Amino acid sequence: MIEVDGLVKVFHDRKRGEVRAVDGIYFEVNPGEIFGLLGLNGAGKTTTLRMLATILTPTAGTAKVDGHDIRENPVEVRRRVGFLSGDTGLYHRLTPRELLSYFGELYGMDRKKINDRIEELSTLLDMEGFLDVKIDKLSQGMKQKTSIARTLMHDPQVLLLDEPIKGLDVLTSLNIIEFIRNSKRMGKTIIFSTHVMREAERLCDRIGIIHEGRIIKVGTLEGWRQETGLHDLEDIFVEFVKHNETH
Amino acid sequence: MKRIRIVFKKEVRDLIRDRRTLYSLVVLPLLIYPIFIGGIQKVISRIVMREATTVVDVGIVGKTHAPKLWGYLQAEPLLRWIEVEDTIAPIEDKEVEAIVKIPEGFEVQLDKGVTSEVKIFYTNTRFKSQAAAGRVKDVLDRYRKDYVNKVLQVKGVDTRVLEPFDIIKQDITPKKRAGMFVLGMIVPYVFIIMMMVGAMHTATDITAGEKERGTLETILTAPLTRTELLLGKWLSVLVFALVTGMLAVIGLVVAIKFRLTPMGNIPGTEQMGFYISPGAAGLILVLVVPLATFLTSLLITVSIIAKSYREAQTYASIIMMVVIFPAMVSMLPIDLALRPKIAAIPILNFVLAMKQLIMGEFELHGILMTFGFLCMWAVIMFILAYNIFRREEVLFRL
Repeated sequence: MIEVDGLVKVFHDRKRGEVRAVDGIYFEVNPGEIFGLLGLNGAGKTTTLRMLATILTPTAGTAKVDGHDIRENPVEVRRRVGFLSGDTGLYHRLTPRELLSYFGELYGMDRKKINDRIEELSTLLDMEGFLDVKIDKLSQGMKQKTSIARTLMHDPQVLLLDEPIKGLDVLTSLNIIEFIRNSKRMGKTIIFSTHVMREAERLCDRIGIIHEGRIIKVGTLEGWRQETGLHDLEDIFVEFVKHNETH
Repeated sequence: MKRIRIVFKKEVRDLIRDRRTLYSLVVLPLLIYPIFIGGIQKVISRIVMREATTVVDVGIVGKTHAPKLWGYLQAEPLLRWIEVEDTIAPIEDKEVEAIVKIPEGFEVQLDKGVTSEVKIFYTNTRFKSQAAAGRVKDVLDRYRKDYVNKVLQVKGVDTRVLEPFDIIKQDITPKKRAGMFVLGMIVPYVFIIMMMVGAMHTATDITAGEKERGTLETILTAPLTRTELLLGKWLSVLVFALVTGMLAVIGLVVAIKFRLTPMGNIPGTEQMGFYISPGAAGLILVLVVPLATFLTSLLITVSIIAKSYREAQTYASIIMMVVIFPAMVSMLPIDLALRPKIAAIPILNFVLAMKQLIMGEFELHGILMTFGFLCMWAVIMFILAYNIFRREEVLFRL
């Protein structure tokens, strides 16, 4: 479903000069799978996901999402992708219903389909009570539900979730975790990025460790436990990073 | 096209929801001029009334040299005379507002036909002092005229010899267009400034504001091109700019129509007509489109470069300050012709062209040249905005 083929992203920074935020990465994610992108802050997780969501253009390399090349056919890719991150804000002066309608229209859905989908999502996410309240007035949890509904509005096959739990309270994070598990059950392809080892441990089928713009290891937690003789993902992560730096 | 409309509709709805937008872009422009102009008129007329009826203290030096003139001066009800010796200190000390100095032997010299000087001392730094000097001069003028008349009568000469014929100045401006002269001076300036206010507020909100609130990243995940997004945003800024500008002009015209002028009621303005030919009005509309495109593209460009809403507002205020100067030229009482060098300067060319069109005195080739140059600037600025909007390092502060 997702094939990442040597993606590179170079930024030019006035102070640091040329920065290779993503430096040639390869991985694949299959339908019904949650792939964790685990790395420290600044490792290149957000840039990778933004390239897959076609918000940023790669400097080199490419990727295919459901058979569509992110460089050649970005609009088709966007139709198939739901992108959620801690940075994707909401229009505070609109209500959740208006916001969802807006995105529905942009995804080319007709009025009836939009209304049906809003009903469906509000039942699924328990949003009936605040569908017509300005987003400004909503609690953090309600806003997060609205963001999830926005991501799912066009029923995308692929979900790109960039640190979706960052900075959220316990109850709201539980909502998100529930939503990710549900999506997996529905057969969606999911990439989930985080720097919190516990989140990756709880949710992911496979994990890719990203460090300084490169994927240094892809595998399952079980496999890594056997390989390293360590139990905790945090220890395993440190082991791999150290190993990478000495080589 | 459909997606541009979707974006446009949403931006307008989003902006209207903001109460600040309604106040600053609808209520304020509509009311600012009637309130402002009406208020100034009240204050000024009150000051003028007070100045015209209060008694002022005036100093006199050498009253014994002119008993007849002194009697004349004393008869003036609004002047209270105080005998002084110095001609400077009493004014500086605010003891009196002005001082009249009559030279030694004034009346003797006068009857001999020898010219002498009566001096009025005052200070230009005080409005009251200037007014007092003016009042004293009027009295002296009257005295001089009476004196001349008396001398002529004694000599048996008709006083009409002083004014052997009358001079009458007649304004040939058609009554129905008389008001357009006033409008031509003020409307172009007001329109541009208020249009800037409308564009500033919206352009910063839907570019830098969206960046700050994180909604720009959200919308970029939707299946629309950046060009479509920019066009939707640009259109909404354009509409708000035009609405704000036009509402301000409506407010202004209403204020002037009801003769709320800063100077109070100017004699002769009672039947001031406001007429603009449909052709001239049409040409103004034609010029407004490239001008508004130019200004909104300029504001979108600086706001999208800004890292935050605040930074965008700072940049926009700088632009506003730069725009004010050429816009003010419409208020100067000079007739600048739209020569190529002047028609090439954006904003300046528009205010001059609009002024000419409002006053009904324009040369078509100057207007067309202005239109051409405005279109050129609009295209240049729009392309700049487009190129900047497509740069991801600008959109994402990378």
